[in-house]
Amino acid sequence: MVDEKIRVLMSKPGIDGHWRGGIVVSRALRDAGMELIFGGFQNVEQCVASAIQEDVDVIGLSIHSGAHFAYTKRLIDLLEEKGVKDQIMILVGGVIPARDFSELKAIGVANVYGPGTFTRDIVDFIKENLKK
Amino acid sequence: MWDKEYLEKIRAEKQIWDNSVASQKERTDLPFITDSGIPVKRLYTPLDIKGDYLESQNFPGSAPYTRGVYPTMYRGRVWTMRLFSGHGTPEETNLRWKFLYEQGETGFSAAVDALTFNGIDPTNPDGSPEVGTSGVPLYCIDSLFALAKDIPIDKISVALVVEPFTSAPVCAMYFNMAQMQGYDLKNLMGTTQNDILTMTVGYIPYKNVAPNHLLRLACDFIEWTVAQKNVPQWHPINFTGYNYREGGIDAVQELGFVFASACSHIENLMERGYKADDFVGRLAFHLAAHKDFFEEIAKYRAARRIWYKLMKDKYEVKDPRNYGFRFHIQTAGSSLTAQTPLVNIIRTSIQALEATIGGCQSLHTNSYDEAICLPSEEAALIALRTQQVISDETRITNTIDPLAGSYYIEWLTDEIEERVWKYIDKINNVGNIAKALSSGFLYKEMRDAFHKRQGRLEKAEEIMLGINKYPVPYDDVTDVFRTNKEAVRIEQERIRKLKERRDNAKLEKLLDQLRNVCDKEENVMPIIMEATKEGATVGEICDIYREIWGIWDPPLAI
Amino acid sequence: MKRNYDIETLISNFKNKDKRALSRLISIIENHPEKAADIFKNFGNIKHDSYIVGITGSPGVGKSTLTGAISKKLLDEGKSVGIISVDPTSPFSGGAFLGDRVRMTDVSLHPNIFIRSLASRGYRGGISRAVLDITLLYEAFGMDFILIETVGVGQSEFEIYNLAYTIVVVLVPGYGDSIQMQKAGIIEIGDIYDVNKKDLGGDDVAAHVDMMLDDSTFQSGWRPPIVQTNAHTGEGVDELMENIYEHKEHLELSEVLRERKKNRFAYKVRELLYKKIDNVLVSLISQDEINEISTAAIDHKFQIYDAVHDLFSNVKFERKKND
Repeated sequence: MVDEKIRVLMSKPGIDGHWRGGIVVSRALRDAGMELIFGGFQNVEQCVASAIQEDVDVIGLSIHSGAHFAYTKRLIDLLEEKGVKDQIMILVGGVIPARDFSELKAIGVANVYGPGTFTRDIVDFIKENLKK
Repeated sequence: MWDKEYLEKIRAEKQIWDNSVASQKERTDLPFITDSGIPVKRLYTPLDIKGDYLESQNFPGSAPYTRGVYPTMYRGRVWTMRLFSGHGTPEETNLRWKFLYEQGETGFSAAVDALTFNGIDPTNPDGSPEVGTSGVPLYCIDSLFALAKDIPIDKISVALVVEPFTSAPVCAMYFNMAQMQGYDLKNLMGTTQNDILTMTVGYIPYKNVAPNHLLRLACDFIEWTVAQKNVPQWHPINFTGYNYREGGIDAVQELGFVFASACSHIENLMERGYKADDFVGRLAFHLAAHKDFFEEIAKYRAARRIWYKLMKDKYEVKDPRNYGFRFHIQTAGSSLTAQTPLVNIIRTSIQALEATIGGCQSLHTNSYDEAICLPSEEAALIALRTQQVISDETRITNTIDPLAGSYYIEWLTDEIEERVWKYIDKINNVGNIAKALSSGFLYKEMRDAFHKRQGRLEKAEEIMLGINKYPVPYDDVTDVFRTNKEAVRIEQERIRKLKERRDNAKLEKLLDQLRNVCDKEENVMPIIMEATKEGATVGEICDIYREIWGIWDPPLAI
Repeated sequence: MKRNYDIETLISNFKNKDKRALSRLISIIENHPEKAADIFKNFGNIKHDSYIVGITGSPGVGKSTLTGAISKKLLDEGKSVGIISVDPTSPFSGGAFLGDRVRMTDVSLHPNIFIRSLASRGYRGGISRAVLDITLLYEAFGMDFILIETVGVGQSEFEIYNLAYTIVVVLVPGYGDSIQMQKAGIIEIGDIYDVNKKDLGGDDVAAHVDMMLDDSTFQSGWRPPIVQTNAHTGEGVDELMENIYEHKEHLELSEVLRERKKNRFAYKVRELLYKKIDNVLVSLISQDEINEISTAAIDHKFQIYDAVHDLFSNVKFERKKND
């Protein structure tokens, strides 16, 4: 009997305190049957260490500080260094200007979610796009 | 107001009218309730007014202050137009402030970056990418000099929006800077937000200390500035419902929480031996102007009445100058969209109108790019003009509390007041504000509000045009204001230079004294005034707090 | 999980102390328990034993913060630590909110620590089915200490009793009602009682526990000590550590450790056997038959034992003789 669950790490790189999005999405993913590991405030190194130890399928970055490129690039580089970049789906959410979406996707982010996102869209995307 | 007989006549006629329209269908798309869930009738009439005019409304500047805190209100002086702003570096923020001042702003307000907010220096790698990205970095006294350069701070009030964790060091730097430039602290006008809720449930704090210490720090600041008359014109606190409201709590909860917080602070200071009259007159509030037009206006009126009753009945305040509920308003950022952002100008205008019809003393209007980035210069200008259209073109300032006497408004004011009193009781059952935080009660309310709001949006029970009605993609045409990428380097350099020129040995001794002061029950301000003058950074001061009191883990609920 | 893995490569990396391999093997065992045997057969010549500490208590008492504080001490002593934190799976959604490691962020980067969050996935007792297997993996990996932190709702904590050698029961001020503690049953399973959140008080709780211990008997001669800690500041954690080491020594010297180790495996052996028996049973008795009996019981409820007995009298388990 296989009981495979989707495991997601919710992490906020940095120190900016806007957590409404992260908390709302965390619950939605839990309610959709996923195992949501709440990382809270984590620097990029802590985020990657958690992702590896927890063998997550998805890293969800919650960023409202305006520093999304800085953190996301650092994270992806570190995941690459540790040899796990291609095995984890990276999603970024928060206050991200629309015109930055494509550049984020170009560096390896699977999808970007700005203000007003419906949580079911995130759930659907993960379920449909996780590499089987 | 109307005699009994006439009211009976109205009642009879209303009955007839009700019957005549009973068969007419009403819309069912959205329930007829206020944003906070108060059911609203089709019609309000003299039958809905309780109490008499002199008792429940009276005149502006007189008990119970329903109609306004001053006798002349905007006929005497228009509200302060104060745009919350800050980005990149103090130098850049200084330029923005000068620009806005030239364009007619009448008060300044410093939005600080996440590092300043959390008491972290830019040399700390965990926070350094965020230097200047969400506000102005104010890490040391040099920063305050740069921020206030050529700004007439003796003539215009400056609001420093820092919270209890960093209000002492940042304001001490400001006060020192002012003194060193020859200004007399006895005349200095301004505000420190110093609000415990903003930095515990409004935002989630990063490596801060426990609420009981935050309450102590907040009260130390109030005590030193106002009760001990060191900066007697200063407003040492704005009890802020705005940020908590942004998460989804409603108008009734907003007032409930700010009043509960205010009471905890007042009681803390009274325990230190002060009488309420010694300091309450300078306590002020910061509320939201949200989507429900009439509810927000009624909310402000109810707030004035409630505060008066609290001052008079609960704290036995004697001086009538201390009965006034004075407040700053920020229009609701959470009501704005990243889709079709120009529509945000309309939202903000309507909310600004609520604030001014509601009688606020100071107003910040959001920029239309709020949901995307920090305000660009153009967007900030439009936000300012929004206020000026109201003050200069609409003529609403001709008269005071123009909606008084509206059957709906008076009924709603009473209704909100009643509900707020009940909510204050609910909070008091948990304990004082520090207990309400550390016990997790406020985090549970916050969590429930988050989920309720998200649920309403996803089910279209609350409409946000562009998101759940007429949905459109994100706007990618509007210019995105980017903060200075060099800010990290500039601020690290500023700190480096500061550390080079200051007397590090002397400072060590002062910081050591701060350790003692924190441990005992002494007021932290005097030693922090000295230390910041000697060049202590905000991170260095806050690290002492962390060392002595430990880092607090907020009981976040999901 | 959903990625390609080659068990041989994983095992080889695992033996080279690669944390990614450990992590992947944990996932495999959690999702495919039938693969455990295949994995474990590679560890035949690993003789390492870890010392296992269980940390249990009601939600909100500070278990995770305490686990982090204990880890910090162990790491400072040069020990390696494997942590398992279990949280409940939601019976409605099948999902879980795993919010323990967030309290251990500061230690999570140390090279000698490994933290894994598990959802109970319907398993009772505050742990999950995979916990024993994961402790075996940690032992094969060479961890000096294993800390298992469980949901701890009080009553059903006996499972952790089987899996760890030293059980720390964590309480907080405001939990001083002795009847509450007795009902929770936790008073019987603790080897050490820790009253956390010392800044809020706790002397009364400590006194209550003390009184209740007065009424107990201690088979192995170990009377559980009571400590008071503030997990955030670290106050009292040294004393807690001393008591853990003392208990460890006590178990080793009195040979009770051997008993506890036996229990650890006995419970698993029983569970595996029951699972096998269950499988056999399912093949011998159909759901329809079970439904029939249940339906009949609506009108003949007092005959239910007889009905099952009769059904079972036609069922035969046999054991092949070893020839």
